[in-house]
Amino acid sequence: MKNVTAALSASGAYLAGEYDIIVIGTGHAGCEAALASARLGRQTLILGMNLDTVANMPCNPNIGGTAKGQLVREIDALGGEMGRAADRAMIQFRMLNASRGPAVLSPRAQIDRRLYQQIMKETLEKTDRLDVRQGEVIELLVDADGHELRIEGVRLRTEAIYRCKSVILATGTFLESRIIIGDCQYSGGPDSQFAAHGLSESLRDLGLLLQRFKTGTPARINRRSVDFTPMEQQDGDPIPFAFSYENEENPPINPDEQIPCYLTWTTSQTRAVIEQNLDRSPLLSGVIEGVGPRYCPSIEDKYVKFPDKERHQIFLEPMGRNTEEMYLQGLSSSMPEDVQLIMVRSLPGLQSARIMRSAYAIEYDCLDPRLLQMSLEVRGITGLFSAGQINGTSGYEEAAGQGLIAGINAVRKLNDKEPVILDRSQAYIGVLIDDLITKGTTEPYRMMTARAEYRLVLRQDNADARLTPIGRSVGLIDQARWDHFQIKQERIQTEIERCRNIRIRPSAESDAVMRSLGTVPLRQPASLADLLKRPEIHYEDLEVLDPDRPSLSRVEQTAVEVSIKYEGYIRLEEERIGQFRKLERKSIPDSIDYRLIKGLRIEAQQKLSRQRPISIGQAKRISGVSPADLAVLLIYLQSLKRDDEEGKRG
Amino acid sequence: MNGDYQTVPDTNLTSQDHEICVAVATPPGQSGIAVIRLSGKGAAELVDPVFKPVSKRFPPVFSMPGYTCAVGKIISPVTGELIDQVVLTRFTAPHSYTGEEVIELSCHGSLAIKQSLIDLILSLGARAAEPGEFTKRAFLNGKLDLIQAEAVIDLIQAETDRSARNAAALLQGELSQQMMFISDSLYQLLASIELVLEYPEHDESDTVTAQLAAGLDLIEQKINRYVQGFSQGRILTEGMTVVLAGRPNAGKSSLLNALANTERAIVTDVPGTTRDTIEIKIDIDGIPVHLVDTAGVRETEDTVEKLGVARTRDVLQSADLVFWLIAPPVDHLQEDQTIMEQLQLQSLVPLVSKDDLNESLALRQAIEACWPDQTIMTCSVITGEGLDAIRKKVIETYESLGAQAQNDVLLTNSRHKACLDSALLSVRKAREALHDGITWDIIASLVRGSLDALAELTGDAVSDTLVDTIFSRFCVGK
Repeated sequence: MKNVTAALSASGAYLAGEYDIIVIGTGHAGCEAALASARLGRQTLILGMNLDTVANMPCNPNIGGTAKGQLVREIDALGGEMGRAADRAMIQFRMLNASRGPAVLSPRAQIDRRLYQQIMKETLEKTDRLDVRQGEVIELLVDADGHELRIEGVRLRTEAIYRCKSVILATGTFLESRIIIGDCQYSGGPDSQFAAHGLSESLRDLGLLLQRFKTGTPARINRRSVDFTPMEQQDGDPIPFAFSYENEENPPINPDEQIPCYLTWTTSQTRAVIEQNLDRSPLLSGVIEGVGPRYCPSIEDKYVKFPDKERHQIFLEPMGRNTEEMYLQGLSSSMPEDVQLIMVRSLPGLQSARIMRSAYAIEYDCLDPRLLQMSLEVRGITGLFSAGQINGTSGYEEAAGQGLIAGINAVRKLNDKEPVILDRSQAYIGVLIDDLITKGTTEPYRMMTARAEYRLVLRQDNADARLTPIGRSVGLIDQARWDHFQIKQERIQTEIERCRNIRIRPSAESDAVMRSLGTVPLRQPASLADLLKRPEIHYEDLEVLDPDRPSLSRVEQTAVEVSIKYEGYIRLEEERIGQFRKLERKSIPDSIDYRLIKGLRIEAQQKLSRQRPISIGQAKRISGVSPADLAVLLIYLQSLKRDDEEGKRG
Repeated sequence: MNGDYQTVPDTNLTSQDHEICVAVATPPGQSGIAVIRLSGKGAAELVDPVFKPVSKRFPPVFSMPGYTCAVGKIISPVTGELIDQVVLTRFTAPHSYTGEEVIELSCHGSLAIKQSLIDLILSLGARAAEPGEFTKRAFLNGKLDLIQAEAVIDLIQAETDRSARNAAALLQGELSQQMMFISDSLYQLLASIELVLEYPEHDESDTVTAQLAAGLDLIEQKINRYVQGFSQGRILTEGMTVVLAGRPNAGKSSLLNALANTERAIVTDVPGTTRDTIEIKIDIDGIPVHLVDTAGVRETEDTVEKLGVARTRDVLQSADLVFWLIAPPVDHLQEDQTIMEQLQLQSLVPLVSKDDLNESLALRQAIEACWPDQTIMTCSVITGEGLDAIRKKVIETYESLGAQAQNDVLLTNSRHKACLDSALLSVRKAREALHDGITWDIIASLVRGSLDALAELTGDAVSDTLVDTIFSRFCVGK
């Protein structure tokens, strides 16, 4: 462990610059963190090992999907970049779960991955106060004089020393990473980049606990070697939506210019290939020690764990407009290359497929996220923040969401302001960070809508209503966007009111409309709102009966319809949120000494002391803290309060 | 305390630093034997100096293994006098009722001995346990779940056989277990919904829809049976209110006395003697019954009596069963009929009292004419005729309350009832929503609401109000 002065005394070392905030890593977390930091007025440096891979998508060429689409909308509502960039780079759009209800409606886009990188790199380059620099950080420099460690700077492999007040770690899957393709294993990062060596050791040296995770990606093949006839073509939606609230008036892509995906299935032959070669699978033979994600298993894992399932879906996804490369979603594997080729060719339509890049598994170091505070600052090291896959997550969107919050909070810390902490009833980002910090994770953490308890409220359509006021107060939402937001909200509210007040009388016309929609005719006058509560009726269906309606945009119409149709259910969920918030608001003073609380079990005492939850609500979610422990804690807090009040009176 | 003794190793289950508390663990009053319980770390060291084993083969108390006993004398360290000969049982943490180190002294049950022993132990540095404190500690140390802890309180307070049996079943964790089964089924339904929602491209929704409809239906029925059981269960803890009402001098107080076999109520033959309600607790076949004698109902000028009449009407409204006593002569029947109709009570049974009087036959015939559908009950406190029929009616009423209910274990606590009501409402809404073609995100939300309510019931989820409610029963001191 050394400080800047000590680092500068090494031979060849030189002071390369001085910044408020340095972001390590140019992936999705790093980009959001750096942009937020610079936009909020801080001199910022973003360091990446290879600037040709800024905002790379080394796995699936898409952004969004269930829960992830909600994350992108939230990032955008707070003033992040991912939604805007995805809108510009999309080559196909689909709204998933269209028939399953507004709470789980999830936008997803296929992305031209090179274009996305180019857009993000250019955005970084053109942002004031932000310097973009290629370089590999091998050591964090800290001041250890006080009782707490404090970040002072970073040291690069070239002995360049940068001084700074805060560091945001966004190193993704690069720390001491290892690539595994069957028996062939070597040090390396995603997409044949170099692994990052040295930083892991520096983190350990600072007393941080690292864990080893594993993930993987399927093979890419050349489109020209594919026979699409036995496959099912999957087109984009006829009406594409935008991720960014800035673009919601205009579709981000011409519907006719979308590029399709294709669906095919594994066969009994695929199964046979896998079964014959299981002994060569490093995952199953124990060569890979890292913990892999359950929700995104390799194909060999799927066959081993679900032997009853005859076949599995495989999607072919385009990697971009100007490339023939296609991604084989669902066929992730760490089998040797020769097995991979036979496996790929066992699928209908892929008999003569030519692999361009092999599937591989990757193992890497990451932090135990329970080391972090809710602000994403590492406990005990002032000025060290961390975001993205290094925190044990998986996925571009999860990374970007954390990057944005880390960027915001690093700046707020320097500005002496309270951190932005979103709770579980406010945002998926809140659920994500709370899960990581409170429960930790034993496998790469993927966001899922099922992880959110209050999904009816955390919708993709209302992310702006939930979060744009926060983005505005933080300083990432400009005036034009704010004005637009306020006008939109007002129009929605006015229209909801109007729908409650306008009554439709039973008539031959209304009977005809009701019948055509498959619902019963009116028996007595009903408000538009009453009608919208019928599952069969949508807002646009009522236009004939409501000719004087204001002209609303598509998204405004959706917002009106959802608010009215689901009013009763949303109210029920809000009651549950009220209960939840009561415990979230019961804050635990930072000065609390758990050793002094009588009746607390030792396990609970240790866990609470280590994780220092900010509220009873958070304490409740820590595993190993029982309801009885909470009762003890609540009683203790009450007695503290009572003593305090008595003290004041006395 | 002597610091040289080796103390019991601490374990994770043990709460730390609890003071040693002591109380008589058997019911108050004189008895053959009684048990004095000490709980808390160091209890063995605390009693060791005053416990003299009868035989040398007994080790010092703090060296006794858990679950072993020793016979010995308790000698006052001040006077050197023998207080009692006792059997001492040692429990080591966490293998005790409270999860802490526990010493139990089985002593002779005279009030004086119990008091001397308690005084002695207090003088050694223990603290008197608060009401329910052993149970509170057991809960806090994870030995009992919430429903079980609440059941202990019910069990201690149980006044009849049926009440005690039900509280014991609760204590065995039967309700917790049943609720866990229901939660499990709900989680399974939720998981199949979530699978479809999370992986929209792997659509398997058709099989799930059928599974969902059947599952929700079954769970609704199950919860409902427990909810229904509350009307019986409530009686087991709170008692069944059986009211004797009627016009003045209809013989209500005499009947009360006859049923109770006591002279609790004052009986005279001046109409209007009972101006307020009088209540006694009796046990009818294990059912705890609050038998209420009321002021006679009639128009009156007497202010004191008027208040009594008003109160009677209130009591009648909240009663589980009302016997309307009608005594000869027959001329007042019209007035009885008017008042009964005004009251509009469901569980009102006309009862001809003073059946030993001459006019009663005429009265019975007149009543049969008024209420042709009702079986007319009669009684006489002089002959004792009809008293058993009244008791039988009480039992029937109790049992009819349980007709819809699950009978293995009854819901007795209104907190549990409120949680189950809320769970039931959510499941019912979910089933309706599924039927109406409402989208699955809503159904999932309702199922979660139901799971929240069940978790609150079993204490797996701690809410603010929950802790307040429960701990008010456990008398948590400062």
